Amino acid sequence: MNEQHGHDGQHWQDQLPFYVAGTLSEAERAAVDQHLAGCAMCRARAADWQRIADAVRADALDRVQHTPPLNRSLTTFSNDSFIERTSEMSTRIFNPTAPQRRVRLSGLIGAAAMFTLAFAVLMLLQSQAPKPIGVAVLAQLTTQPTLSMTAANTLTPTPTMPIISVHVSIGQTPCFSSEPIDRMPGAIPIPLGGNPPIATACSMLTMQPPALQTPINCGIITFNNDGNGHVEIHCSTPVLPPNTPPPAATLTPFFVITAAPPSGLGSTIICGPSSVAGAATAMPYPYIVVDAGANPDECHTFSLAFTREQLPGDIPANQRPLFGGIMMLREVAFDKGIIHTGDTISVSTLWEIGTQIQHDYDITLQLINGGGQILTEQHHLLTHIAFASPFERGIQQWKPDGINLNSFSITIPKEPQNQYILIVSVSDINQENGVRRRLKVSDGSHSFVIGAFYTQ
Amino acid sequence: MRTILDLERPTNADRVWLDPPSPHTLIQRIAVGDSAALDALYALYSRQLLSYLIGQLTDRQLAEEVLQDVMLAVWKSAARFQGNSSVLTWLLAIARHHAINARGRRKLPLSTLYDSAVGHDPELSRSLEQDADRAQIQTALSHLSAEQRETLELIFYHELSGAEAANVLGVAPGTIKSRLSRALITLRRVLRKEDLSHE
Repeated sequence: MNEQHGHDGQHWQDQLPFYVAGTLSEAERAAVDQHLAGCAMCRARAADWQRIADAVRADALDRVQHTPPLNRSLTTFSNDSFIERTSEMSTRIFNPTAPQRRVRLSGLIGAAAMFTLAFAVLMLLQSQAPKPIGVAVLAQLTTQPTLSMTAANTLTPTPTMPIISVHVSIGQTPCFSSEPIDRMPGAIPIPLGGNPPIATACSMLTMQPPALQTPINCGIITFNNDGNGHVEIHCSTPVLPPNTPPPAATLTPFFVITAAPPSGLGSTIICGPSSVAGAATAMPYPYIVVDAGANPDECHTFSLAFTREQLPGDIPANQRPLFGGIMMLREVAFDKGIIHTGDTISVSTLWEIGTQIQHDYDITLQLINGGGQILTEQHHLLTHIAFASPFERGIQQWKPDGINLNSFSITIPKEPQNQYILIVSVSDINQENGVRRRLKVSDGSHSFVIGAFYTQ
Repeated sequence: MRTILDLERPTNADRVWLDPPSPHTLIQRIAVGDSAALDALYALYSRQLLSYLIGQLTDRQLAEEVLQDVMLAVWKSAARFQGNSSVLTWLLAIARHHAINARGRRKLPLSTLYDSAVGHDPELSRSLEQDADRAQIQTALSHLSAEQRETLELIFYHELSGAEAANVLGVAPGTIKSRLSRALITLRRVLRKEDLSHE
């Protein structure tokens, strides 16, 4: 950061791309204009952005000389193709002859039964979509389906125990109850922006990580929407920071999980607002991802991603302390977009630190398996962290003075049928009079589950 | 929530538009099965979407196929578009996820260079080389990570705000800023002919 600018300078520099793009509001644009009049550095940077913008636009335009005609079959899309796609999905998911596939017989039967029911519901609910020309309307529904979930009370150290069922009702009429299954069949993501999904199946991850006080009971719910699927994990015992009001909804969106698409393979990530009716406003997705895939070649592949704004430990601006110490997890990054079991990956955590007195921080990364065993535990100890005037008194504005990046290297075990979670924790420890003690102001420590996944 | 029953089914007369309908109106029409509205929406956005998809997939033919898939998804899910975002943002979000799926099917790399790999540039204040013409910068764009290129394109070509771009990409607005900042750093380095592989 440029010293002449300080924090304000960073603000102006952040605005410049949008200034050049013309997407600032009039007030913001006027403010930038005023700043540019007196700041040669920002004028130069704005000129840079203008050159880049011109090049990006030219690059984008160069790619498109003409657009193809709209495929007329789109408007005659029928349920046949939906059936084809869904059948293809079922073939991929439930093919018992697939090599190296570990599917127990009971699981297969349960999954097949689940699919049959799911398909029936899908066909029924498909009628909500705009009806293609020439296709009879089977039913017209005016009520969105509601979703409930029955979770088991016991911990399950492996993912092979079916412990949850999903129940879907349309209005007051129950229309679907899933058979318990032991695997998530896989799906592909729906676009962000929130189309109500249709639940078709679910399974469960339950863990008791030592770093967390309460077990995590996560239902994995498979949704389908317009032939696409969307899988979410709902946590019945969400890990929330102290003093956080419990969410209004019983089922709090907790993770987002996507798996192999029905027509292909690979890993995709969704971190976005919930599209589950009734639960969407309770708590946005704080975390991440699992991708176990549905194909034997892909089943050891998963992806991780992270988004900052929805961190449960993030403290609203008007509640941040005026002084003291605080540390916020700002970003988690992985050096690979696609990760295979057996891979060693680098996990970087970026922290915002604001503290007025000297602090020591212990940052810990743990990889824990479904049995609660800590497979990897690494520490980064940050000592004598001190910054002056981290907060502006009276303004209650978050003024982080320190950005700290830590990199951990972990190896994902290559073992079948296990589940893992990745947890990053921070303990705020102060050395005072020779006694290590936790600081009240920072609530001592926080743990963030940054990933959960399982292998097939 | 709006359902298909809330909208009147279009008549033939409805399909003769005296004034160009707004994108939101087009979506409403599509929601009730008006294929002419789908044509109109396609005419309005196909160029932008195709450019975006080619950028994501680097294969025009595949991009055209995915564009058809995108329009199919629009056709089927228009009834549930709630208008909380702009139509373009919604379309780009759909296109993005279809592109991700297509990449998975074709096993195309998701990203060539992770954002964080660029690191911090101590010479942040140095300007782009003055003699770097547009072609040079266009070439330099290829040195950016896929995420950075995508972000630049959403901001400058599709003219999304930071919040809209964040919505499409499913990231925090702060991530958009950091990607832009790192993209600028990388472009400066490339245009100074520094070898990124030695960073």
